[in-house]
Amino acid sequence: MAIEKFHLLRFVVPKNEVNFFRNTLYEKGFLHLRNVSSLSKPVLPTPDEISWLEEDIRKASEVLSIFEAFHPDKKTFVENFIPKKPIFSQKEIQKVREKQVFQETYSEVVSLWNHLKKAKDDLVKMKQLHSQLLPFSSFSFSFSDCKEYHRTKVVFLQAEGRKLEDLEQFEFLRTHAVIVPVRTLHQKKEVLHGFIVIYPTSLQEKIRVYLHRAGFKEYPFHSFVHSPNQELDTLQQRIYQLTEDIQKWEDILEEYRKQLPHMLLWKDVSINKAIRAEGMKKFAQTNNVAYIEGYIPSDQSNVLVQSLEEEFPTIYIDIVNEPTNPPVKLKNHRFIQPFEFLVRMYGLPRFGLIDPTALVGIVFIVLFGVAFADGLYGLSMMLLCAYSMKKYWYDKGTVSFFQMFFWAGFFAFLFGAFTESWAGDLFTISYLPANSFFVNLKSFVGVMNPSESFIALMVGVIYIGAFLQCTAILMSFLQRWKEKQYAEAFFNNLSWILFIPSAVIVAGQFLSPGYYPVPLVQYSQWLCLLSLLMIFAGGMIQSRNNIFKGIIKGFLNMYGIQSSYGVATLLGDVLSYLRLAALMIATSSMAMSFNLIASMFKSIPYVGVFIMIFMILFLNVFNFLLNIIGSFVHPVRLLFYEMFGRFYEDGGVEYHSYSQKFSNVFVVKEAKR
Amino acid sequence: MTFAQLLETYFFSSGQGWNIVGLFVCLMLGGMGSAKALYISGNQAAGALSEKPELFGRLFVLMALPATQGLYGFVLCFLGMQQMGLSAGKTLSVPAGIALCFAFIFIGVVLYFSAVYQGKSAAAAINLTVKQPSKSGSALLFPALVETYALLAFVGGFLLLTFIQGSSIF
Repeated sequence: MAIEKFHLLRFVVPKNEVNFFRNTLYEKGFLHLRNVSSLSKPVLPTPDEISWLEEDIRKASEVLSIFEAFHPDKKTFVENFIPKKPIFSQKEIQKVREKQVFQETYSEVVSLWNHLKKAKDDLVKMKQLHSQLLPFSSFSFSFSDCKEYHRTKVVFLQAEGRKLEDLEQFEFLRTHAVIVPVRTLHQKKEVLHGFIVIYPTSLQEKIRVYLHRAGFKEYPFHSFVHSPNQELDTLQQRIYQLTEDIQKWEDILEEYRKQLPHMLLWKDVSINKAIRAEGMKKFAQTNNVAYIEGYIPSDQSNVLVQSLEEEFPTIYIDIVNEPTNPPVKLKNHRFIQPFEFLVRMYGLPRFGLIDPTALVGIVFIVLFGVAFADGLYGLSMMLLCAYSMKKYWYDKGTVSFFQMFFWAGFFAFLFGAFTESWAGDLFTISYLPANSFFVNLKSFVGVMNPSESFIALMVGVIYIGAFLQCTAILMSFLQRWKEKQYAEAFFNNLSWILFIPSAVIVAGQFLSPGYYPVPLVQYSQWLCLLSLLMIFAGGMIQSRNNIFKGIIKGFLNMYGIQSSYGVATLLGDVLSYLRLAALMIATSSMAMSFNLIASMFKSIPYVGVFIMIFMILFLNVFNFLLNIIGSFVHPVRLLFYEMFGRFYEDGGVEYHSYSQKFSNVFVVKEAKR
Repeated sequence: MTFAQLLETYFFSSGQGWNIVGLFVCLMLGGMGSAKALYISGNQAAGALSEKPELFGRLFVLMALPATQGLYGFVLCFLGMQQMGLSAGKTLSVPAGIALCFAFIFIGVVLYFSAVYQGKSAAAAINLTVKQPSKSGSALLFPALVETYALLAFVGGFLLLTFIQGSSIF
């Protein structure tokens, strides 16, 4: 539970070894490169290296987009939240270096795809031509004859919903051309498809003008030679052939599609190689040497230095043990690690700050538990998270996320059981037999009913708030103590840690006389006075030379303008925790209402009970999902605003090792599919 | 029953009519607010998804956030009808009915405005998520905080209905 310590490594590398040294650093993968290119001039990767890497990424992306267009992946609803990615073992990744395989795949896939697209386009055209020619099947002329006539011309016009009269409206056409309508019978009705217009070649130009004025389009029959029937047979054969070809190519492409996971991996590997090459831009160079700097976790530093000295005897390495402003890497126990997500949400702590992850984790799960408080919901959440952790074992981020909510669910279960909320009022005699196990369980473990004892709940939540505020100030106290700011720690932190609980007891005595034992109240009054004096003295000490200024500063300290806390903000911040009580009531009251709505179906004969059970399930699942959001957001807000404001300083730069990272696939030690 | 008789029965000699008006105005305002807010956030999400469909999971939660106010209005309306003994034919005094009517109208106003502003805030959060997908967790906080006040109004209404049980207002 701390922030990792770092060493700064400085390397001077002969220029001829830079590329190899860069690759070795990348393979070792512990260094967080520092950009020192401004010291001299950056080392640029060779244009050739960059261009072939970009080409590889482009090719991988092209193949992936072809696969997506050919067979779009249907995502389930859950996959929109937890993306599905292929899993590879570290051994399998080594095989991806056989680049030739992927180059061949790329060429094959692109060629196949182009053939397939053309064949599909041709097929559409053939089918259209076939359907256009079909009405002419009863005619026995041959297209070649029509073309060979010298004295007459023949055109085939598409009707497209128009009638014979549209052509015959022109007298010239009526008198100088023969117009033959092409009709078929469809469901005992004549359907007009088009016209055959025969006219003397000498009048061709005039006739064309009239046909153009009438707005008729010609059929695309120019390539036909034989009779319509023979041409229909030929078209049919070509359609059949094309369909077969398409099927064959689709099967081959489907075979290639099985390589999709490897193509994703290839893309990642290519991107990684590009990042490796681009990393050089952070190096500085002179005429003969390159200069490189990077931070490394202190426990890895010696191992890396030793191995580099063995591999590169000509390089110079310098180690700085306590660098200023290193990157931040949180170092926590695996139970605490999931809560690093919350710390990252706010922003990483500055280097040197006490790592708050453990505190954040504990506070979050308790506050979530209070807000979500429901026994059945908490239990369901735990089961759901346990199942998801098992299902998505390969995805570290998702497992961490569900681990966090598993514990949050556990506390929701606890608080729900204590507050007698089991999917609202499901475990009551309204829905279950009077002596059933669940009804007895509810009464046995229940301590209070928040709807009936809302004031007690509010007081309880205020106690939690006051305690958490004290904890936050204690963190600030420890930080200042660590940084040897003893006066600040004593007058500005310890004073408030003493004041808050004593003030709560004094205020409690005022609002509810006799609630607290008399000696406790007396001690609290003295402690309250002493802590106020300490706060006041803190201001006085800050202005030693001017008593008048000191008095003013003392009062300002008490109000909270100068100190890290103040009487004025105490009330607001502690009362802010009341939202937890509101959330607790909201979860259970909505569940109760939904149960009540569902119970109305019970009176329907025969099926009523089943409808009621279905409705209870459906509505409670809905309520469960709805309240998770609120129960997550509000505790996070209490953490970020009310607690972090007291002690937390962000601004840390996250540690990113110069190494392989995969975004399209999951990499695990052993792939168990 | 004539209109005059209806007014006499439910609004002048009993407060149940006032109570019903208050509950349904609350339901209406909650529903209108959520619908308008979902329209705002939904438009933004649809636009964003046309560019980045892979963000559906993250944007869906943001888009759906302002849906709760409508639900709060519905639950209060339902509980109100049930707690006030509408089905049991209980009568309510006229001053109590008017007081409840105004209480629920005020709650409805809070629900309406909190939903609309939450919708606008969700739209801004959607923009943030599209530009920086890694910040989607933080982006969720901003619109969700607006809901605090809808939540307080809802709990206020719920407690009013709970405390009123067994009181002498009937």
